[in-house]
Amino acid sequence: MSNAAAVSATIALIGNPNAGKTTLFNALTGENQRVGNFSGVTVEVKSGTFFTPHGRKLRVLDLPGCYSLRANSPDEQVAVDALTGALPDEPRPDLVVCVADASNLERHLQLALQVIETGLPCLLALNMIDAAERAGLRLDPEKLSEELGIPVVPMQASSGKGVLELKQALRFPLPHLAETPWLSHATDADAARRSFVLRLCELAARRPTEDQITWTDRVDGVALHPLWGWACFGAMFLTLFWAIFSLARIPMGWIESGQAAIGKWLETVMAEGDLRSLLIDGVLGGVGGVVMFLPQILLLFLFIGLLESTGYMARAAFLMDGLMARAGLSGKAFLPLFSSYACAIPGVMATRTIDSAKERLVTIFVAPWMSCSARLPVYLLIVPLLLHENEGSWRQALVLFGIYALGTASAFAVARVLRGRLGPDPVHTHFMLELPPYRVPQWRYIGRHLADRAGSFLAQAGTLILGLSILLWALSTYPKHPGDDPSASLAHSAMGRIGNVIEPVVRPLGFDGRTGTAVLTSFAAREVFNSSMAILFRVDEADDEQATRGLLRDQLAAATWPDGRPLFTPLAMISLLVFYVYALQCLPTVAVVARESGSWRWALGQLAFMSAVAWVASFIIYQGGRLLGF
Amino acid sequence: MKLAGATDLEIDSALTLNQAGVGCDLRIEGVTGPGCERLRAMGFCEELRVRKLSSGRNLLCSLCGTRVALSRELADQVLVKMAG
Amino acid sequence: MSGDWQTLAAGAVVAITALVFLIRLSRPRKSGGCGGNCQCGKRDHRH
Repeated sequence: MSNAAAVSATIALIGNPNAGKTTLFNALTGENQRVGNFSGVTVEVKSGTFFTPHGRKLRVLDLPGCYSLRANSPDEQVAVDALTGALPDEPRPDLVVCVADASNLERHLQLALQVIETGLPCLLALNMIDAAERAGLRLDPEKLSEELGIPVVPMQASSGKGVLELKQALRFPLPHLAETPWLSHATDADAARRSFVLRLCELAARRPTEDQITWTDRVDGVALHPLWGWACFGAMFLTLFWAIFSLARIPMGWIESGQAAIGKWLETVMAEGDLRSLLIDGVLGGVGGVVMFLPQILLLFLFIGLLESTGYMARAAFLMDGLMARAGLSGKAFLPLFSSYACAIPGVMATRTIDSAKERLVTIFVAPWMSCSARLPVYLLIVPLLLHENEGSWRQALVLFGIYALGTASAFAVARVLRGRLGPDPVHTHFMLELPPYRVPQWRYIGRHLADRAGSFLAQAGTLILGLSILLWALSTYPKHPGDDPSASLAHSAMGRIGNVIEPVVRPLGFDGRTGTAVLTSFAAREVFNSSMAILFRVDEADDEQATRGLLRDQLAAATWPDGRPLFTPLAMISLLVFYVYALQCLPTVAVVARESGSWRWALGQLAFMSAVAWVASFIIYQGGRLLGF
Repeated sequence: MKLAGATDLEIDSALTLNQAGVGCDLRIEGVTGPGCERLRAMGFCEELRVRKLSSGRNLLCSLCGTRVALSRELADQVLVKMAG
Repeated sequence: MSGDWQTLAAGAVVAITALVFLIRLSRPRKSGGCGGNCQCGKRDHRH
């Protein structure tokens, strides 16, 4: 929607890369922004428009982030050109807004001084004021304004605070040119600016005394300790897994009884028949087998959200850097890999922050082995079977921890080998990381994030999983076999025949045809494994119409091979778990990997490699275990 | 043989951030080497005060109230002096 | 008797489901992101 009103003036936003310039730009312009390329340069400059409270239409340019006007890089050159009017098709702006991070004025003000020296009218946007005040800084915007000779507007662009005041400060006539007292009698402009800034910060941006030990320092004394830090780290993760098995049991129980109740009700209102079977076994069983794990998945995301929100994530990256170096990666790979515990897709996309192209490729390659949340329903189905539930949640937590550790350790091992084979980088990159102060988690943000994820999880359950469950039910019901024998019926159905075909491939791994079929279906989405198992194994309790429909786990525990041997021996279950650790069963991931790595060969190679490893690892576990007498 | 001037002595007494002791208040004298742009970006500028918090493969230091972790190699590119 | 209508109804549901899947598979995949069902929240990565 283009406005016909004429533009009164053009203002430019300038500042260090992390000053929040773009947030301010978005807050000012909202939808009215356009990305354009200035000819001859590959750097992006955004422009947009907005209206001031006085009714004037202003055009605003978001210049590339820069540290100085010395033009050390293409970014800085564009900024300099913009201010001097040297950019093609772009006149000199009428006013420059210097966006500075209030917590880092010693550094950010240098640029502001240089901008004032250009002779353009200026305004200082003192951004991230909330964080600065929380850090104990005593800011005096009036004093700053007095000393600099330009208007100063405190703000917190991310929450919109101060944006209106900024717009109001942009009244006509525009602020007059400021003088540059620091340059008079100065031989070295850089040194003169530096001492002026330091003096100014003493006056108007006082820091709490260095000797003050903050709460953050105290906690970091433990969190970053070479020994205790790791203990903390391990303890947190163990607690998470314990919580997944114990705390989440309550809401899980509600979901399961709800499912059973609906099933019972359907049995009373509908006569026996295909539709009833579709609804109870297909829909309820299939979808229920996945939805039941929602509480545990949410717990995982809550944990991740807390880690990020409190600022602990940076400490974890710091701790992990040493370990990652042994895998040939850097601390920068930590966040993408950690994100992959939730879902490999945003993890793979997050690798864009990694400078080294080779390290990036390696990180993308191993990311799927950080067991993603889609595997949780499978793990949580099998692990309690492995250890009978009354053995206590701690053992189950340890097993789950072991599974995650297996995936992670394998990922690091492969990363190391792959990194070695790809060769060294042309430009060596180093680890540098800012550790933000600890802060109280932002519950509203976390809550919203959890609600989003729950929503999309349920949406997926209600669409993809539902659809697949219906189809799977159909495949396992038709064609029908006359007579009552449930296992013969299954064998006769389409699914049964597929199972027969698959069985030779998966038998060495300890799986029968039904399990093998379920594994195959989970290539569409890992959680579908649960749905398939629910559908494929219901046959066993068809004899017992009177009893309440047992939980899927009970059905699996009772499952047998045709000759009567129990199907899910501990060895078979471990083999199954290991398979799921390694198998890449997510086609969207393959697509994203192809896009981010720029090569379909890399993505398909990854798929082939991981499938092969899954099969071989499972084989070794099962056959090796059999040989050892398990 | 050229006699050492006052400024030469000053440079000799400068340490790298790596060599400085833990817990000391330092002032940054210079930033050199291939990582200097990134260091400046993070805030390691001349005349700013920095306190070293820990040593090791990755150093921890407090720079104008901000805690920063950086690798040993990068710390070698930061020249510091004891703050008076 | 009631068994017959149930079979028909079940068959209809299955057929519609299969049809929906075929339509979705044949439609070109939306580029940008993950197709939606990776359950991720948008995250701003700065380093």
